Amino acid sequence: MTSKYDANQLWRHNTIEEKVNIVSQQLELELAVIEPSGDVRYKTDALSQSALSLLRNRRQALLQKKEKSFPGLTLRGLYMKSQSLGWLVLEVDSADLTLEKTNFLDELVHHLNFLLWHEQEIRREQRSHREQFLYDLLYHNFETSKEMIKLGKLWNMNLERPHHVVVIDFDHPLPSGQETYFLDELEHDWSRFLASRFAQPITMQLRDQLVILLTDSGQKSSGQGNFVKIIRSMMEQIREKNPHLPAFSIGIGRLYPLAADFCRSLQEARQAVSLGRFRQPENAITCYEELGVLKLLSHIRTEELDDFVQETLGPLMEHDEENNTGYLDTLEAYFQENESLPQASERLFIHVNTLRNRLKKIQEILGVELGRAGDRVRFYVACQAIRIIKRTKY
Amino acid sequence: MNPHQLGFEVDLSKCVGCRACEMACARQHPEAEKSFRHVERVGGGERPQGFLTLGCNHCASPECIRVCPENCYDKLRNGVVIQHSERCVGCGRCVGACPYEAPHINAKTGKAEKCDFCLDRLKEGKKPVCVELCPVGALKLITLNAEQIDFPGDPLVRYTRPSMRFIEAREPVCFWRKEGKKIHDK
Repeated sequence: MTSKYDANQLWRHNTIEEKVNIVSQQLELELAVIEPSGDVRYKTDALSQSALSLLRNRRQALLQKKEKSFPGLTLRGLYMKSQSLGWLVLEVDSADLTLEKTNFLDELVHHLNFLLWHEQEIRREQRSHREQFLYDLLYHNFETSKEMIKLGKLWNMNLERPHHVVVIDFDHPLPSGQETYFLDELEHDWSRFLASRFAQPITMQLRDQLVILLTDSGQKSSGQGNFVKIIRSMMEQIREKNPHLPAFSIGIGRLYPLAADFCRSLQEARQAVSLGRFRQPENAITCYEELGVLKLLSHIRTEELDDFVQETLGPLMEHDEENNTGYLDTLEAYFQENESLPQASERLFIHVNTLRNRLKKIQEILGVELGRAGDRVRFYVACQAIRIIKRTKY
Repeated sequence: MNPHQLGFEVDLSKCVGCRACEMACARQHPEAEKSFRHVERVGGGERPQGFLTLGCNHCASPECIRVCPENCYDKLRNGVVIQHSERCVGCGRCVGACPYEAPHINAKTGKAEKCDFCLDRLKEGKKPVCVELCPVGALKLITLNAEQIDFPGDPLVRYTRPSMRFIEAREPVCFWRKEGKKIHDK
C-alpha cells in the first residue's frame, strides 16, 4: 500500500523551514522546532499562542523531557548519537496520530536530525576559530558589518554596539623566552578586572600586544574621559596586585558606531600607545583623540624635526650647554603642565617666583614673548618635536 | 595569536639595480598606471653604494587601513594588505599617509592602487613575480616572526612595522698593487 504522504518532497527542499512547512501542509498540523536550550527555532504560522506559552512556561519540564506536562502537544526528541538537538513539537495529541502520519513524521525527524547536527558541526568548527575571527574582525576581512555581527554571536559577542578598542603594550623588550609568560599574565589580570566592570570583554593576544574590545556603556559624553578613568583605575589595581609585571602602556582608539571600523580603531590605538611614549615613556594611557600635534609630527622625518628644533630652540640649548641652566627642561615642564605656573613649579620642585624668573630669562634668550599666541605655539611644537627626537634612534 | 606574516627580504649586496622587478611587476599588472615596485639608489655621493627595491611593505600596523574612509584596505591572514579598488573614491588619503609611498592614484581610473603581493600567483603556490624574476636573487619571499617585525627609526616606521628585511651591503674591498711592483714581474 502506498502512503498518501509524499516523503520525496522532503528531499527536494534543503532548509529546516521548508521541510517543516511541507510536512505541516501535508499533515494539516501545526509544528515547531525547539532548540536544546528551549528556545523556538522555527514554528509554522498558525501554531497557537497557548501552545507557545505552554512551551515557554514549562521550559524546565521540556529540558527534563517530561512529555506528560504538555497536554494536547506531541513532542518528538531530535537526536544524533545520543546528543540532544532539540524537539519537534506537533500541536496534536499523540493518540490522534495514525501510523501513516507517524511514519511520515519519522521521515521528517531523520531530516531534521541531520540538518541540526550539520548546523551544530559547522558552528562548532567556527567557534574553534575564535582567534582567526578576531583577527579578521580587527583587520577588516569581512564584506559588511552585518556579517561580523552574525559571526560574533557564535562567541556571544554583541558587535551591534560600539566598542572601545584598547591596545596594551610592554614598554621595554621582555627577557628572552619570557614573552609568552608575561603576555599571559597580563591577559589574565586584565580579564579578571574587566569581567567585574564590563559585559563580555573580548581579549586577544596579537603578536606582542594585548588587544581588548569593550562594549561602550552608551552614556552620552563629549569624550572618552570616563572610560579612561575606569581603565586608569584598573591599571593601578593591576600594578598593585602584580608589581612584578613589567611596565606597560595603553593606547585607546576612537569609538566608532560600526563593527567595520574596528580595524581603524585598532590602528589608532596602536598609534596612540606608540606616540604616547613620547609624552610619558612608561605606564602611559593615551587616547588617539588627544594626541593632537604629535600625530602630525610623527609624519615628519626626524631630520626635518631636528632642523626645526635647532632653528627654534637652538639659542636656548646653547645657553643651557654653556651655563648648565636647564632652561629647556623648564620650558618643557611649563608646556607639559598646560602653562600652569603652580603645577609646573611643583613638577620642577622650585618656587613659582623662581619659575617666573626663569621664563623671563628664557624669553630674553630667545628674544620672544611667550604671551603671543604665534610664539607660544611655535615653542610648544618644538618642545613636542624634541621628545620625538630624543626617543628616536637614528 | 602570532599571525602569519609574509614579507620581502632584500639583499643589498646582491641587487645590481637592473630593474627587472619593476618591469616584471608592470607586466604582471598591465591595468596599473605604473609599476608597484621601484628601484632607488642608496648611499649618494659620487658613487652609489647600492640599490634598493621598494614596494608595499604589507605593514603589521598599516597606516592605509587607518586612514581609508571607505574601508578599502584589508589585511589577510597571511599578512598581505590588499586594496579593494571597487570601493575606492580616490580621496588620496592612503597615498599621503603611507610612509613608503606604496599606494598611488591611477590617473585613468581616479582610484588608488598598490601591490597585492601577486595574490593570484600565491594562491597557485607561486612566488610574487618580482621575486621570481629577480636575476640575481636579491629579492626573496620570507615569513616573518614577531621579533623580526620590530623596527627602529622614525616614529612612523616604528609603529607601522613594515614586513621587510634587509641584508646590508658589504663594504667594498679595494685591492692595491704594491708600490714599485710591475704587473708582469715574476
